[in-house]
Amino acid sequence: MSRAYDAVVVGGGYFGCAIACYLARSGKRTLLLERKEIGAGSSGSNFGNVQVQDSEPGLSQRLTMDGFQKIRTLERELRCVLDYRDIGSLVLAGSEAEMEGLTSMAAEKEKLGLRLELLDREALRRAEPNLCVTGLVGASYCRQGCLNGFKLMYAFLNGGTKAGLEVRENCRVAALIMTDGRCTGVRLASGEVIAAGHTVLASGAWTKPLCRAAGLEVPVEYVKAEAFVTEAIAPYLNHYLSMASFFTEAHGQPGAATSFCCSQTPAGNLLLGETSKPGPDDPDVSPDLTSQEHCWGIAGAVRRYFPSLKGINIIRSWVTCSPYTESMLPAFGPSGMDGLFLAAGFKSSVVLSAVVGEITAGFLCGRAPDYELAEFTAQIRPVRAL
Amino acid sequence: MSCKGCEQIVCRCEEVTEEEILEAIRSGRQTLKSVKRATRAGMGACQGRTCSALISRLLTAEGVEAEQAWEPDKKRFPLVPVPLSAVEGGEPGDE
Repeated sequence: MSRAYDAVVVGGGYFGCAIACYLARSGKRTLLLERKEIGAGSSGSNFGNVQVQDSEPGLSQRLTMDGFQKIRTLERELRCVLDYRDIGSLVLAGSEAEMEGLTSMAAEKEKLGLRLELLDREALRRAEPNLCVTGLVGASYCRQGCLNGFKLMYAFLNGGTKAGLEVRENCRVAALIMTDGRCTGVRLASGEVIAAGHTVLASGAWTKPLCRAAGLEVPVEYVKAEAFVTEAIAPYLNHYLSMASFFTEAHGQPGAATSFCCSQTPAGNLLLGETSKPGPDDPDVSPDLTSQEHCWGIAGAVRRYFPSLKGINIIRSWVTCSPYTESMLPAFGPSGMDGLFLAAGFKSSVVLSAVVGEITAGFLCGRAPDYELAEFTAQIRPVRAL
Repeated sequence: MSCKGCEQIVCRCEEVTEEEILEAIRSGRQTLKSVKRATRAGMGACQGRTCSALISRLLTAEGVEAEQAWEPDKKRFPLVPVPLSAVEGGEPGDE
């Protein structure tokens, strides 16, 4: 058997790649495992928005603000091109109640140092002239960013491999290996055993089943999210648009309602997305085919908000399992089980990826933490005996 | 396929050059899918109908084993560009 790794990281998405990168750069002998290809899960299905206005108050907000600073300088730090650009985000309110929600959120964020602007319907129309504002009350606006998510993951990989990181794709983890109540590595679907001092799960929707089998209840759920990409067109959208109902409905409630979001890539393609219901407990059996429900839902949302796009061609669609927690706080930190560290269920991934990578590497290298993660880890509990 | 001193477009939809593809392969993107994700080659209107075979050839030329180099990217709905209105259902709000 090969020498044990200092750390094995499970999951080749934003967080797995970032954590593996910073661990390797901290001198740890690190292996990154991905069940398919890098970015094959929810990270590769993501629109690349560096979303800052949707964080929860408290530590999430602080991490988001620190992450925002970090991601804007990451191109220099990792000497890479991420196609980073500043772009505004608009969260649309479809009712007076949602507008009140945005207003109180803005007041709360202001106290924590994040400035949100509130737009009435007329200001919204001026900000996004192609948007049909009928039926909308207003929006909150925040200046944020957008980047190429694949370039971000590959930049972390390239940064990590230069420091000795090993990466294995198409490598499915079947179970955590427990020895005397301690996690000592992972067993692959092939039967191969990989021993590691630290096991880090950045495995999104797969985190819960892996942990449950090891006796740990981690409340990371997922909803199905689907998207269409259209042919490239002239500049059409000025902002990343999402719905206020998303924060109250899609993530946080079982049996959640659908929620629409859209943005335009630098190449001109429109990304049209929708999140909906939870899938089966085992994400491996979650249907991967584009559903009629989402065809209708996305086409209906476009007909309502962007009637001028009626004739636009769609060229591809995708489906993913988008992780969330009911508390809206990530399962991030030491799991309570020796040797096992968790980084899953984050709300805004791109903005947090680098800072989470750095914090995790620092923690596993025994450096004094700048952040008290107990707020996040309190929701991780041993499985109750039946 | 090399063409010194001139730019050779491999993916016409997204205007990706041979040089960009080779750079991606040499920095570790050793499958059609990952070359696509790194360069956008194959992300355009034709979804890689022409360029995927060209990229597979570049992969093998760079030493990637044939089986891996020719592993096709996943085909996804709607296969050919169709107007969004073609997938519409009932009235807004209908489920």
